[in-house]
Amino acid sequence: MTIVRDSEKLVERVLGLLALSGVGILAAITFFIFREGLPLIASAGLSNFLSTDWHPVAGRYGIALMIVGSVAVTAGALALGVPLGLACAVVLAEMAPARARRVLKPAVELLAGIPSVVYGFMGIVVVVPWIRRHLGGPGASGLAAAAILGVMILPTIVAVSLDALQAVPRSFREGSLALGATEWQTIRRVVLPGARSGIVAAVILAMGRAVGETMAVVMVAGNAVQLPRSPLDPVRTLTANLALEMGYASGDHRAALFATGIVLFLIIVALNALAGLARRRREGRAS
Amino acid sequence: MTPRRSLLSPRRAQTVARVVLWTLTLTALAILGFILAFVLGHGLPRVGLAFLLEAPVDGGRAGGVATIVVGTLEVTALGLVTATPLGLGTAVYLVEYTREGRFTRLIRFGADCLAGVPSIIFGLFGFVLFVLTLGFGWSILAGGLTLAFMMLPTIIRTSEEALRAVPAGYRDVALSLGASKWQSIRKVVLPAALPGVVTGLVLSLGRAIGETAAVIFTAGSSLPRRIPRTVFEGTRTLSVHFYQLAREGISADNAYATAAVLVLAISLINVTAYAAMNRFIRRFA
Amino acid sequence: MSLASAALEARRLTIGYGGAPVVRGVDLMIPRGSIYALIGPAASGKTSLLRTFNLLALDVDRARVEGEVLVAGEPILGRDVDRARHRRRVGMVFATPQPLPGSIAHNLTFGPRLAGVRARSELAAIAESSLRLAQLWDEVKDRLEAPARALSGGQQQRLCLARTLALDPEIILLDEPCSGLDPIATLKIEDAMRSLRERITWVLVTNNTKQAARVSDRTAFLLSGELVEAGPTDQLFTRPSDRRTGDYLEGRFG
Repeated sequence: MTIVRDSEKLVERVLGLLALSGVGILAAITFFIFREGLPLIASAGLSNFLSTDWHPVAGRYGIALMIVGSVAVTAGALALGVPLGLACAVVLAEMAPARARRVLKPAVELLAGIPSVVYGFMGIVVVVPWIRRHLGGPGASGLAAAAILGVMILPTIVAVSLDALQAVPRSFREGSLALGATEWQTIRRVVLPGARSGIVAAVILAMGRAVGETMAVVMVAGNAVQLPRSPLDPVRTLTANLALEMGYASGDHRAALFATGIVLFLIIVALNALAGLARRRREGRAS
Repeated sequence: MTPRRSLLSPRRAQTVARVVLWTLTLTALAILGFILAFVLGHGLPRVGLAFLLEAPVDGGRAGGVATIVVGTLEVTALGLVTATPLGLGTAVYLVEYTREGRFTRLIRFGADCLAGVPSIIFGLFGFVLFVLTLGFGWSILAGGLTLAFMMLPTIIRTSEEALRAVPAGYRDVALSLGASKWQSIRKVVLPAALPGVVTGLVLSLGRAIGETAAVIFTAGSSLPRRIPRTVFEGTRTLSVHFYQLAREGISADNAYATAAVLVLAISLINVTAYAAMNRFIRRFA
Repeated sequence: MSLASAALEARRLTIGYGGAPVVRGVDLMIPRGSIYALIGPAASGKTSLLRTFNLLALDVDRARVEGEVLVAGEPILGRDVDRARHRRRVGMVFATPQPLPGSIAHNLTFGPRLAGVRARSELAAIAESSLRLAQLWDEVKDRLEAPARALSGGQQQRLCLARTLALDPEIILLDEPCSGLDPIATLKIEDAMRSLRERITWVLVTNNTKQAARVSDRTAFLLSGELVEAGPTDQLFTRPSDRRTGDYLEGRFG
């Protein structure tokens, strides 16, 4: 009987080792990023780091303009993606026949797997020339990036919102309709509020992906380090900055890139914390 | 009857809402469909056996993507093979051998955050750690390990959720029929959680194949003229190749073809995984 | 009743999960070859007691247990006890039928295969005899490879019983096995218990006092973790020695 016991202990130990390594790697990544980036923030000073002056050669590492770029592009992406995506989810969940939903839902999820560089390429080939011809400016702009990102986050918003809408109990809808409400009134007053936390989670998730997107943005945003005065001006996001400068940065310059990584990491942490709060509110209400 | 404050009767409002919603929906679907049609329409005609089996010539202006495909497979396989036992093992240990508490919640939150961290940061991380500090240079090894680190949080989370979804009763039943803890996990819990686990793996695999930012700085962007034979050689993956072709404007035709291969490959992986999963579920559940 | 004929014995058994104990100082003696019922209102500790008897409380519920439990005279609470082997001797049927995913045959042979039985003929024989003992053979003999999930609730529960019988246990613990079943299915399970009384000692936790009266030889009444009284079923039901027992049986609380 001790033979069985020993092999059980062995399994537990091996699994424990794997878990230690797994968790250790997660911790190491976090630790590494902070270790490489924090010293720069300390030595250069917060006012330098958050200024609008990005001139690594001269020791100026202000990322404010890149923050503006990221915020602008993400906001634009959400402005485009959320209405379209939410409408699509509502139609698929409430108004479309089940057969359409069965075909379109997996199709949309498939589209979520298209690499971002393909979207970026569409940007180069279709969106940028269109903007240049019809709206002016160089074409490669914050608007182009927002448009591409908006389309990129569409599948995420549709898929997650669709799940949230389908999770609303059928009894809610039936109760509302039985009281004489129209379908739209039911959707607006019963279904959407019932799926609110799931939809919020979808939007937060999409926000995270938009903020973190690099390659597509590099391809269409213009990448000039400047304050955009209109959507037609080129912008540079935090992620694009990393991609463009990583190849030749060294020393303090590279540390500044890691510091940017810390900022991005903290943004993701904040978004995840928000998403967690939204989820807990839903669970609290349901019970 | 209370006086209505809005201008539209409920019936009218419903009609307006329907029109607006359907318009937005059809717009969204049209955009997504257009992208798919555009890429596949321009690219599929150029994807033939020759394209898939020839090596790239003249910086990608001519020839095919054979060596690049192999390089991509090597990098991705290394990543998956490294991340899966680590991720699954971590998940099994967390769910089956530890008690739920502050520590497990912290790990879960950390894994969720790292799963959302932009891949460019993993590229930066992998560049400094693997390419420079550990001296691997731009190599399949650096690229594969970076991808592994990137996939790890997602695999941990999806496996953990799949394991938690297995009803507690299954474990009780297995134990009460004389199974040891590991036997109950191996023979009942893991098979029941397998669909969820594999879905998570496939998701990570798809993301890894489409990944550009993390691999371009670790596996490099050198064009492999012959099939990479050791893990210390650098390579360009399909998405990196596509990116270079697109950005440098080298060859629009080949760019479309590469994009088509990418999209098809990822779609194929997803579809076969789901189909296999459905058959598995039907047979065993 | 001599100790030698005790299938299971509990001495000063106290069970807790970190807060106040849910079972306090229980002394029980369950004679071999009988049907022993445990009755009492909800949260009286009946299920904790049962799950301690097959050690699930220790491994799964992480309970803290003090006192002694002896099966056929051997203590089972020690650290060096082979728990898997113990659970083959003391089987359990749960309140909700929990067939394992897979076929009926898979469910039946799961336990024996773990115990080392390999020969297909032997496994098939075990499956058939267990199904007969659980009074399920006639209904499923033609579809042993069908998924277990496709059976009705009553059939599933009899399958769970057969699954446990396949290990040839000395004791079978049942935790409210008929709570979700219709009267006919309930009767079939009770019939199976009666017909196997010689071979197996049954410990039945039930909320249904009428079932306890119907089927058991001895009954124990638990209240808030305390063993109020235990004795032959007829006696407990008609002339209980404790007022609380009478109150519970008359439905004055429950």
